Amino acid sequence: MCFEPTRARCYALDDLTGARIGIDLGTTNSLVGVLREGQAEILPNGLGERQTPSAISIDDDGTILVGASARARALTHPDRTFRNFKRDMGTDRVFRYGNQAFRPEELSALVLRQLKRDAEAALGLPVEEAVVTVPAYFGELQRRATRDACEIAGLNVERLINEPTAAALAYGLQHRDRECRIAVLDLGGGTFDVSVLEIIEGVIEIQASAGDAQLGGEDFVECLFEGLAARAKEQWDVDPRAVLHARARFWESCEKAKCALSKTDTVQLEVPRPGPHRPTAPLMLSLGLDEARELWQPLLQRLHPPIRRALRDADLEPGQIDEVVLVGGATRMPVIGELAKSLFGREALRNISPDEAVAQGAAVQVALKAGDEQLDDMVATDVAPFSLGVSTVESHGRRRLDDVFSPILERGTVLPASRVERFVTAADGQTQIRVEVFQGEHSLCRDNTKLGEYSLQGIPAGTAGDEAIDVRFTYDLNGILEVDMTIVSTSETSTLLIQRSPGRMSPEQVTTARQALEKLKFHPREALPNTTALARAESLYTELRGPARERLGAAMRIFRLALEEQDPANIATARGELLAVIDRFKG
Amino acid sequence: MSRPPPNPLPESDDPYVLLDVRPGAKTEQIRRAYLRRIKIYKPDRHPAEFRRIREAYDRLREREAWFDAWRQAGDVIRQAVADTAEAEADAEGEASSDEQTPAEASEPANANAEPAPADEAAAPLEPSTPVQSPPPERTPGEPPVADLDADPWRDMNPGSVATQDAVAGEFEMETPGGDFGGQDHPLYDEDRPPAEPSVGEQVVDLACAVHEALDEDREAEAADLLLATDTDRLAGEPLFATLLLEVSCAVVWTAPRQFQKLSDRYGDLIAEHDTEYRDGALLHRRTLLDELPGWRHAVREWPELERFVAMGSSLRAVSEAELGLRLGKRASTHAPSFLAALQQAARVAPGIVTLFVAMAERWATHYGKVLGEGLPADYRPTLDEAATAVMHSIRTHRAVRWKQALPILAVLTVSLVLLVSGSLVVDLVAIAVFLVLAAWRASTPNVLEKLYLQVVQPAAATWLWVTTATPTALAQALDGKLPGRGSWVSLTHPVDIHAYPRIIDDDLVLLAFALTRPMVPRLRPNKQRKR
Repeated sequence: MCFEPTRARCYALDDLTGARIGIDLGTTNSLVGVLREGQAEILPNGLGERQTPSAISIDDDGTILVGASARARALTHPDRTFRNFKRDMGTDRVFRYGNQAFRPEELSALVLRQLKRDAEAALGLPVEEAVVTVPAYFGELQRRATRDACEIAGLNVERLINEPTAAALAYGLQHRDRECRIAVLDLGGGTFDVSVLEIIEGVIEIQASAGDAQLGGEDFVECLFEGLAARAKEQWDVDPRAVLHARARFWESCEKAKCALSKTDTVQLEVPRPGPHRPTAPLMLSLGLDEARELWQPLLQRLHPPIRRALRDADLEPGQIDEVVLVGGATRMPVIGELAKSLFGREALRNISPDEAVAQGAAVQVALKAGDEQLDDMVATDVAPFSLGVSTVESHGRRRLDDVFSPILERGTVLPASRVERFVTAADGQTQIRVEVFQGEHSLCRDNTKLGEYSLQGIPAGTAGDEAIDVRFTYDLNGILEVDMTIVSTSETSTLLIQRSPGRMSPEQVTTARQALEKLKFHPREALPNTTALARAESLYTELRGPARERLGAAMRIFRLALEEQDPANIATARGELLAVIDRFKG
Repeated sequence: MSRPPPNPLPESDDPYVLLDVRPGAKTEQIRRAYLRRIKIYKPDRHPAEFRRIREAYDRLREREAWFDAWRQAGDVIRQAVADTAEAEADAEGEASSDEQTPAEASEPANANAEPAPADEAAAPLEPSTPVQSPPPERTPGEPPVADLDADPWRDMNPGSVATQDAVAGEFEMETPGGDFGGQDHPLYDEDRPPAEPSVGEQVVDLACAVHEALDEDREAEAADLLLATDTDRLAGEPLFATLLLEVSCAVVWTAPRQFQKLSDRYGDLIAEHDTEYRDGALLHRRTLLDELPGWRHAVREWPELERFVAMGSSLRAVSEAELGLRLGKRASTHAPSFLAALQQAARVAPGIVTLFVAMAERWATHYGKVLGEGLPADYRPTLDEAATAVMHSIRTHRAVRWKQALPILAVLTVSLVLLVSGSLVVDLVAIAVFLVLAAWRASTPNVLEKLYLQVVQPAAATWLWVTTATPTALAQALDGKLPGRGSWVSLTHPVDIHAYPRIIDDDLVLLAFALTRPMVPRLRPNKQRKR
């Protein structure tokens, strides 16, 4: 096994310009794809691996670890390792360690920065443009947070693309000549998305998207975690949730159990005892697939509504779907396949890689956007995942109902699109109107997300309902919403451009964050394999006992000595041995 | 990476031009056209163009949905009528309702079809009914003619207009008038005081007179009729405006002076209804001719062009056959001027020309062969010739030939297998396969329907449009052309060839084609269609 980074091979995508990459910024893992010779490929990272865990860890000396090394430290240093921050995008949550505090945008930016560097190393070209994927059900705030993260990371990202759309593009690239209706179920680490699409004559038409932004593989783990911890408490009066370290280790076991259940019917997992380690017999729990299924039942039920909604939006019956494509690592769980089969009455397809499809699709999208000649005969259209509208007042006789949401551009409209609605003044003598733009599906504006507002002046005074205003929404593929307001009687037009306007972070904050990121200490790329190997060994060391632990400890000591001597040849040998030991005991 | 930008999209707002598809195209054809288009104007690279194409596509799909709903409604009502007719079969002799007003003829018929079927028929239409104009105010005693006319689906689709009429026609045909004496219907209230004709009745009378004039190619006279009316009373009636538009379309080329007079007097009304009901077909034609010198030149060189525009913008069935015939001849006799005119025209209206040239070529090859060369330019085929052409299609269409050839091919294959193979098993398998196929074929009942829809209906539709005959007349003419029952053609035809006239006579869709020429449904009871 060798961790030498695969560089040196330079691919000239375009001699003059930089590379265009597609990034799947996942909850658990992130990937980078690029389109080469009409095929979407995944780029290896500095460790030669295709997936980079979306994890950030802070080392003892304050340096930042990203990726596999950070992921391995989740077990040994749970307090200073951050994961699953994608689920908090668009919120005000702050991740803290010591005196350092990170917003989810900043943590994502660290991952993105790493991905960018890895891609540049693998391609031998600077990255010119990237397309980043987001769950279809990400709202505007979360999308803006993602854009902020890209900006902090110094990535030029004009377009965000929905993950199921990306998966569909990857599928469509391989099956361009087919004509079929497809449902893509994307159950990732933290999100669940459904897209219904049609491929016809090389045109990939997304017909509907729906999803649940708070439902993913991690929830399935959590479900096991809570259920089994309760069982352990009942059985032995041991609560693995009590102490952070035990909690992290038990979480890890649950995660492994979840994966193992894809292959076997029952798994054994160890319940760590909180507190100092005493040489007692390990507490072993056995978990059967049926039992897990029962624990997961509430989660499985939550998968139904988005699927139903996507089908309804596309005006299709489940029987009219020709193929069901499963994407996302969590769809490896057999229960998801069973669910898809019971809903659609057909076996789900697994012939595209569930982990890599989204990144491949992002690579296709960035090439499509640039007008790549390799994809001349391919077109993809996407729909608006949310309705966009304005707030209005409704009068019923004397009673007035405020804050009513009047959609102008309905969800499911093929983008880019432009729609116009006419509104009238609500009060006598009204000379100005406050046009508030909202996004969402609720009937009252306060339940929806506000995107911006504009005060339209200069309306001729008249009785209520006399003066009309045409409000036109033009929404493009890059998420830029243009609101044109025309006073009908005077033909005066004002325009409000809602363009990647600040999310929770102001532009100044983004700039500051970007500068702060520059100042952070990172592990040098060359040292990455060493750090990762050591972090993995450390993580395994906590799990092992007896002779195995001694054997691993010896290998680690040799490796540490080699590192101090700084002889590259020695380091490589020692690392190879250490990894061999890790492989042997990891089992 | 650089590649020449695609040609600019036509300026027109006409969805047919934008999508490059012919009016009357099927849903699937529209979809394919849309897909073809967006491959050129990709959403990533040409967002503005893509947006226009998508909007055009959405509009056409909406129309298609309406047409489908109407067809379904037609089926339901038809069934209801058939049931009623059965029940009242013996009342046939009492029919004496030829003089009743058309509104009476259709309105009670609708009442008859109720309660269940008509409701069902109307149900799919309701939710998306666009409010084009407020329903006209009516005085209590007035017959509900305006209802027929103010129907918002009037402008949706050529088929819908005609289908509506067709439905009315069915009723005339099937239900004798005196029968539904309208016990509790307000129309037949005996106590109604004999008043002077209401506005609605006047409009209907006028419509009948105008249609009579139009039917006999007296366009100028029709215009005079309109010019002579008491406008202030009638102008509010939607039927009047539609009538106006129809006559304007008829005289815009044949009698420009009358057109001028009409537009001087009713200019606003025409413009309003033109845009509202016909997507500005009339204006489109005028504007092109008046404002584009290139277009004027092209039209002088190639008169068919203006018909292209008219057809492209009006939502009617297209007289492809006639057009193809003329174009084909023109192209074969004056190839250079044809090409020059084509270039001129393409500069002005690229979408329109490509659309129609492709279409015309297709039809020219087919019907040019049927009718032969050397016909005069303003030639309009007679019913007899139309029937000949339909008969030709019935005999020689590819689908028919294929169906005829199938059994022969099968027999040949089996005998070849029997001859060549030495093994008994192979022989038995071949014979078994043959028998299974033959049985399957014999048990498939809808060959007739398939052939009819694929071959006879399109041909008949085209010729009906050109000759403006009724399906019944065409059916009779076709009946005369059919070979005898024992003849070779009749025996070798895959299905009962003598069934076609009956189906043609029955076909609502064909009735739609036949009656599309006048825009307003013919309100006068159609005597010759009584059986």
